[in-house]
Amino acid sequence: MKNNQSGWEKVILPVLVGLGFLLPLFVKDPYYFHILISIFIWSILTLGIRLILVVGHLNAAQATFMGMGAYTSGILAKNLGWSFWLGLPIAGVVAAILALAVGYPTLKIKGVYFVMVTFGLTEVFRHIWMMWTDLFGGPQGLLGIPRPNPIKLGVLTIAFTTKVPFYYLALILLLITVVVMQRLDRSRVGMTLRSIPQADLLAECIGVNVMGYKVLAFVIGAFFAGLAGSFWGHYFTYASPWDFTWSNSLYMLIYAVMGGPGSVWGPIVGCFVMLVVDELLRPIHQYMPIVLGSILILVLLFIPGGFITIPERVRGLVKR
Amino acid sequence: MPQNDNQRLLEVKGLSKYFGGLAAVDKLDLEVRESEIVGLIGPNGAGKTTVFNLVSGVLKPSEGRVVFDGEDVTSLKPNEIAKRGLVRTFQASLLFKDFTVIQNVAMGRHLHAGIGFFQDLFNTSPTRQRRIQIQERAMEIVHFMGLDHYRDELAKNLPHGCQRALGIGVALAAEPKFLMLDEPTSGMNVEEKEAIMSSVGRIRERGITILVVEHDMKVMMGLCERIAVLNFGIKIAEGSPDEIRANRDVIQAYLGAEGK
Amino acid sequence: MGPEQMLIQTFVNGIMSSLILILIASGLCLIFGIMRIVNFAHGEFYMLGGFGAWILFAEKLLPQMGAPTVQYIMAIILSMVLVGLLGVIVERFLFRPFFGNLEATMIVSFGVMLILQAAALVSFGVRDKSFGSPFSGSFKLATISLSGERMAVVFCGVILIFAMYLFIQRTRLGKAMRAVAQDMEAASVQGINIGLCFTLGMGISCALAAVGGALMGPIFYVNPYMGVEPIMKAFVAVILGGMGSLPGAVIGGFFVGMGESFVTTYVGAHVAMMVVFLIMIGVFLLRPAGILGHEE
Repeated sequence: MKNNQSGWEKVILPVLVGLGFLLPLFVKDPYYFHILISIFIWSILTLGIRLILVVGHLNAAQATFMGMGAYTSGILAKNLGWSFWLGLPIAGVVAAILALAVGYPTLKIKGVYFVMVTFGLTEVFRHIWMMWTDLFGGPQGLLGIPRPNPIKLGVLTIAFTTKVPFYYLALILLLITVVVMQRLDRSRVGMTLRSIPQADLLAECIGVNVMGYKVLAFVIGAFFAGLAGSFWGHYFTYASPWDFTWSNSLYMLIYAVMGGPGSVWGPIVGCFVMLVVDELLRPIHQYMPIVLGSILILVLLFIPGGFITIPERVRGLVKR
Repeated sequence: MPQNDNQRLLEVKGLSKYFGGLAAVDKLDLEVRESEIVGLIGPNGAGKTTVFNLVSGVLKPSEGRVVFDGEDVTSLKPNEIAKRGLVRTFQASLLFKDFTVIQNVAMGRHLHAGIGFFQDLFNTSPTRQRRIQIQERAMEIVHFMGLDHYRDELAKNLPHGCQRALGIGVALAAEPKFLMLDEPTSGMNVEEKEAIMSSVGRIRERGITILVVEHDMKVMMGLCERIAVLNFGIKIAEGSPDEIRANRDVIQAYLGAEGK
Repeated sequence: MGPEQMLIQTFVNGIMSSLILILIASGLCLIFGIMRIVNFAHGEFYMLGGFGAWILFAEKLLPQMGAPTVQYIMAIILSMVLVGLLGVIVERFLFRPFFGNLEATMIVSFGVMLILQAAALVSFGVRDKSFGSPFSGSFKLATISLSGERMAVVFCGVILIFAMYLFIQRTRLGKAMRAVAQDMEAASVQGINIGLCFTLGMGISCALAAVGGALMGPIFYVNPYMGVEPIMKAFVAVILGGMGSLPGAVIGGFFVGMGESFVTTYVGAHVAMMVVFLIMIGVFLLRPAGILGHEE
């Protein structure tokens, strides 16, 4: 796996990233930036959920961590006047702390039940956000979240008045996420994480603190969800409990599985493909879940490693 | 005989485990001294694997204490016990099925990898050095267990005997002071058994203390200096292989021991 | 409404709610116990049951055979059978290929959930559909009047639960299913047809859920999302009672149904749901096996 990836990564990837940065020179329609921003942010969320997925847990609370991030940074900016640039990392940390508090007792629980506990958690938080109108704005959500503060670079001032600065910010956040996840994958920590679903008892008995590693994966995933949430809140200028439901977490899981949880590129590919399909099918958007569910089941049945394994399979077929 | 002067490495005192009303292990007292090879035998269901689970921290005892290297480890988690140098293998071939042989053994180096978290992420130069060291050490062990041929084979594709050998290799990689082997030769043919026996002998020569559970009497008699016999969770006899072979209670427990 | 009336009304609502939850939860239990599958799509079978009865009864797709009540009963039965069949097909072709892989089956059931929900949305539209009244007249209990529909829920609910109990405990097939739930290998060695047990288990479970939906239809409305909340509550009921334990599902169902009814009436709906979930989380942390479950 490593050798193939390196080839692709050394050449095609930098080109893609370069194109990504140069895109605003060619494209002016804000619609495309909106789509790409959505893809980037969903990729961050999906990469986060993928981490704990490869350790063997389906996390239904990823959207809740996103929501924590959105509300935290939104409240800090709106009510206390703090800069977004401070609120962004704080949002990540707050989400991570929540994951830490919740993770330890729940990750001990067997896989099946873990889904339900995280699901229950998501609902609890959703109800809190909907009930506590003073702080969180109730069912309509927290409105009037200010846009990120302008950045001054020498004579240049970057104001977040059009979609383009948001696009770059989302792209940079995604790149940071990818780099961290890739480094994790390739490190001993990543290998240890992958060993746990294969034989957690063995891992434990050769000295691996399995719970510690699980919590680590959970917390890191939550941190990035918090960042994504903070971005989301300041991009749309509001944070609504309806954006942070368990069904949103479900979509993240599905994108991760369809794209392929085996590498960091899978979730991104999954998000890209499905969000593009989502856009293309907007005229018949009621059919979208049917399309999504069907593709998901087809992928699980016939392409178990996800979209990302398609080149491999094609190569395998061609060789014969 | 020099053994009696050695330190007591493992002391099990009054160890009991009750499941519902049934005692899987009943007030077990057992001692293993440094550099010994002690055997634990008994008919199926006698509680041998339960003892392993209790000592290694996988199960919590209902009563009793486990003292390892002078420290009470009764309530510690398995990974904490492994850190103190007590490592066990498993009766079923518990391996990282989708990892290769060399990757499995490299995982065993977890406690001795010597790579800090952030150094690991940033792939610093010392980290790369360490990784090479881990690979080298893992290769040594792969060679020691005679698995060179299968180095890059996925664990799930290995023949049964090699899987058992790999299990021992993974445990060895953790640099145990005390190695507990749970039926290391199960499902093996005569040649494979002899290979394992010879490996175990060489492990002992490296100064590692060993506690073995086995069904094959020949293997046990050949390997162990001392044998304890369990039946229905109770220790019914303990002594040298010859003493055990002649013990009436033991013979009765097995309904005609295979011992020879 | 006086406090006494409110109490009785809350109590009756709670009983109704509990019975419906038990129908759904029993299905979840059966599916998990026999096939080790967590069926997140189960709420959609409940929903489809409601729609099935609606099409057949309210939309008059069924040939007129007599009094509305009779029509309604026919509609329920037919809907139950159809949804049961659908469940069997889903199990055979979508769940069985992933047998043994818990994660995969969960994800597949998510996919099925999405598909069924959207299919209903596309076919019927998002607006609530009203049922019309299949029963004329009402009963008086203490000082409140109970409609025929509500009595039907209680009546059918109790009968079905009892019938299921008899089936599982007394019939050969029921015992076979229990054997498979306990130890599949041993059951197969004994010559029990595992595939049949799977099929039956799924069919019965989905049929029960469908009846639940069909019974609730005339009381509330039917819409494509009507299965979402009931299944959440049913999961809590199953967890409380112990996953895989049918009596546990009954106890859990009553606990959740009555609890939710009382908290909703006397405190509020949001709080009620929160309490339900907090209890579920609490059960996991304190007694993961549930009230009647077994430690594994």
